[in-house]
Amino acid sequence: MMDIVQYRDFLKSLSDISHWQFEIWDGGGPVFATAPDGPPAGERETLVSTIVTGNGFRVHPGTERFLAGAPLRHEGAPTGALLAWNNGAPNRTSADNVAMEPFLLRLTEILGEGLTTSTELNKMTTELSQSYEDIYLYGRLSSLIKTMHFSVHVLDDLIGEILEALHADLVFISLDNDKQMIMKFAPLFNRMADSDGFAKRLTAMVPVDSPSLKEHYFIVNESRLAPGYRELHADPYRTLLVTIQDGKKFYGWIGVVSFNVNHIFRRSELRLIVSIAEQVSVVITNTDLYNEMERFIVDMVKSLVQAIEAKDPYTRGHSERVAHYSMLLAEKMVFDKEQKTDLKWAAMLHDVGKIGITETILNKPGALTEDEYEQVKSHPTKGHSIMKPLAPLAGALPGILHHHERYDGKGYPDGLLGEKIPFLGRIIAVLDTFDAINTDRAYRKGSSVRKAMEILKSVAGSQLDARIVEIFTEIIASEECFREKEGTGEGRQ
Amino acid sequence: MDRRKRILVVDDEAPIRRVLELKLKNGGYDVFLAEDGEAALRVIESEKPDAVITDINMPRMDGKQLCKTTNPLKRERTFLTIIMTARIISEDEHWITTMKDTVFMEKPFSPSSILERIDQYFGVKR
Repeated sequence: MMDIVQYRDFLKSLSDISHWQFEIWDGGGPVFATAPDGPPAGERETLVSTIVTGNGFRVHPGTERFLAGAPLRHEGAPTGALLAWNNGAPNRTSADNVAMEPFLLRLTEILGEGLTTSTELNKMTTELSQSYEDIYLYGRLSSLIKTMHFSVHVLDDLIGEILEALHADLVFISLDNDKQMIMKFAPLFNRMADSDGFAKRLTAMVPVDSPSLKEHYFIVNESRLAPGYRELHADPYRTLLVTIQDGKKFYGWIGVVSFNVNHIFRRSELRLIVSIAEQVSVVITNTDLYNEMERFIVDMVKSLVQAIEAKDPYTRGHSERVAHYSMLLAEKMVFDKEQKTDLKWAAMLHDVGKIGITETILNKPGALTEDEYEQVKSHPTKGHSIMKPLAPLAGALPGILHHHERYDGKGYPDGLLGEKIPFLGRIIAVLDTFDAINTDRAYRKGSSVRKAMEILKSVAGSQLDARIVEIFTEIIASEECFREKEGTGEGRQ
Repeated sequence: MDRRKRILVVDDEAPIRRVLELKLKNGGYDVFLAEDGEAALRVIESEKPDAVITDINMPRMDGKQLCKTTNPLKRERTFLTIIMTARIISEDEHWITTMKDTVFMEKPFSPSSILERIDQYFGVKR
């Protein structure tokens, strides 16, 4: 459609100061005239068709009024015409009628350029508009991907954004590792019984030797023309499939499906999905590395715990049990993931400093001398210095160092008072005390759970943080494992 | 629609004006453009737009000043003001809430969501 708005005023003023009137035609007919009373419609129509087919200036052979016209071209091809008629001089040879030929030719040239420019400008503005949409989308997506772990929730939001931005009917992410398939449909989409199976078959059908796979994608723009894909659905569709991979390591697919085959996937859409897949793979790789590091820490902590227990058989299982109780407590107190991890490590490793204390003291059945007791008391600081160089365990250090502080300030190593004692330290103090009473030691037999809890309550507020004792009491009351043990006198868990 | 709704786009960046102009025109709105707050005031006076989309950072008169100047006009004839800003800082958030019929949208913006927001204000369903 021709955009001639900006030339209307110009042609109008031209007709105001002369005997000339003008009319613009596009492929469909007249679109604008400076005066309603032009030459008969039939004459004008014939003239326009000779102009468009002849592709040049033409004069209508009639004599009533001088009527001439020249083609309007868009990108070289005539798509319409500019007509002019002279209400003053019918004579073909009059001076201004003769002058009209070069004038009309020049004017149509200018109009044509103007039309081309405005068409191009519209096209460019549309593209620019699309780029703005893309930038906006990239921004939203990258803020979603700015995370260490991918929860189902984040992936769900991610494909929701893609679905909307690409006007797709179906978007899915399938991750091979954990056999995950997450998908979303357009609101009105209701064409598929087994969408999971459909998505799986789409990716399974990708030819392994497809050259585009080197750039991590595969496109079918018209399923009816693609062997294999044609059979997957009765309705024609197009699909863009992008691999989530890091180097040679393959994690899964992002797939986009649309049943609107009048469009094809744009270059920018392809780029968008490929870059999302890249970012997803980075997150997955990081998560893998992180998990690997975590596994390494777990193994190391386990061997350290074994080393302590090898020296002191009576504490066998003690660290594991304290860690187990600490997780029950963390659950009850709604700790976040990081707090939980710190607490767990602190609980596992609170006695690690005993590695530096001789076995004869640790296993001595009778009372300790003052000097021996001083040595035992050094285990929190020893443990702290052993673990200090390990950055991932930094959050657990206060729990290791301060698990023998007392709420009334009479504990060690620093004699901290009340809330000044780090929270992890106060928690482990309660759990450590409970397990110590509950289980056999070198110097005495273990008490029942009920007895142990009575002792705990009697020192709440002095030795131990009363609030934590209270919460732990609730856990003891509700946990099945403690109830069964109760009354047996056998404290081992 | 009794008359086509009129939208004024105020931004000192020509490409943004162009993009919004095309998007809104294709959406069936009449569009007016201004490149700063001063020019916008003149258009608001003469064309009485039904909605104004404005940037904050502009030469001569900025978007904040434009809103403060036009807010009293809304007592007689209200219109929607959409403020587009790169990052909403709490200070902005405060003065925006004191303005009648004024919302903000983030930049970089999505032209189609601006159109959606305008449609929503006028109750247009597509």
